[in-house]
Amino acid sequence: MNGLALMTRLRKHTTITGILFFSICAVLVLSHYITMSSAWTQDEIIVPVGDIPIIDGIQDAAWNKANVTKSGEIDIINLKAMINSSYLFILVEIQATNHDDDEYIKLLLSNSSDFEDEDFIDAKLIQTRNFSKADNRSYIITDQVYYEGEYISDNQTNFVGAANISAGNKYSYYEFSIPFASVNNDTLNDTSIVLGNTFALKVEFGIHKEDQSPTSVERTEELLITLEKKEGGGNGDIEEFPLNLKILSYVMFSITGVAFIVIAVITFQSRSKI
Amino acid sequence: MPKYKKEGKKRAKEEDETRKQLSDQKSEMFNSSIRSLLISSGCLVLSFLFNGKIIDLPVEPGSAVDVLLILLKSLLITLFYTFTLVGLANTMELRGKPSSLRDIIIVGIISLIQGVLSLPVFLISFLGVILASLYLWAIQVKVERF
Repeated sequence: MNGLALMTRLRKHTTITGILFFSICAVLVLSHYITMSSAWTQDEIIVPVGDIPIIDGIQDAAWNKANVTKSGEIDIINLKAMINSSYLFILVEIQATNHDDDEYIKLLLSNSSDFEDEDFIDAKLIQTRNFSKADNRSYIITDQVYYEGEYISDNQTNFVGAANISAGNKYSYYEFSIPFASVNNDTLNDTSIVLGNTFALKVEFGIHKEDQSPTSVERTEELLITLEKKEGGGNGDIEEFPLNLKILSYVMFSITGVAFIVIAVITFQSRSKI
Repeated sequence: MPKYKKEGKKRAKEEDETRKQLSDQKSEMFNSSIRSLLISSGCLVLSFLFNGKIIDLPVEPGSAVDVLLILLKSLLITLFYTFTLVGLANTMELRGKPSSLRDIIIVGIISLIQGVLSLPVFLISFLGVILASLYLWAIQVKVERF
């Protein structure tokens, strides 16, 4: 075997070893980003300070500032959450092939981070009617309270909710605006929502035909939400020095481009050395 | 007397051949530099499109597509580093002085800052840059040995 053949073999061997090592390292680094066992892509989310959305069942641009988690592969539930100084906003998006005319979303709110049934003292329900029919589509919102093993209607409804469905009946949206404890006087029947605290939350997706019982629960997914609390006071609505990542990226690539041009010029100049 | 003349001509011919060989080698090194820099400029453009988020594909975080995209971005940075370093090293050798550690660090920095928008891309690129450096160093050792 001559030297050239040996070198070629050595190069191939080193390349294969390098690629294998690179792949193993990449898998190790990325493994914690992939959650295979959890129902949600994130089963514990930090709820950031965002914008105030219009509660009309339509996903507007304000929701871009929310934190998102996803559940399911076929019938997908996307949950978005954000806060302002007084309200917790939650958007539940259901991506399903067939939406029922009488589907509903019920948010069950625990007073703590515990997932026992009796901890979920509060429920916010949006029940739809004739959902697929654009002409007489409607929804009902009900504030509920856990009482002796079941949820009954609360005396007063202390949240705002809305539901809508996209054209083609593929995506349905349920928007909730739930007041913090500081602006909610029903401390007995509603979960006390306080900045910085962590709450267990259940998202119940089901079908409840009008005047029929029992309710058909399709899915119930659990997660933990922590409401972001900005240190140093203030409501955190304004970032003092927002870092524009796009500009940072352009600056970095400009530096790289200039350095690369310098290298190219040096290379072309070295032609005189031939 | 005639013998001396013949030896003189022979030596001159040998020197010419050696000079020509050196010139060919230098031409080959120059061409190699240009080829390497052309490939790395391609990688830089693609890296700018993907790492600079000019092409921002909407992918679900943690999905297989997301992982593939991260690997692609890291690969572009690593390839940029490798080919730029090869091109620069050939140029420096052509100019009569081998590339120093300073050159390697500069090329490493201008490569890695491309992944500054994403921590996973940056970390994997960092690993890739280290591996590429080790690979080039190992190849250099083998070449010197043979």
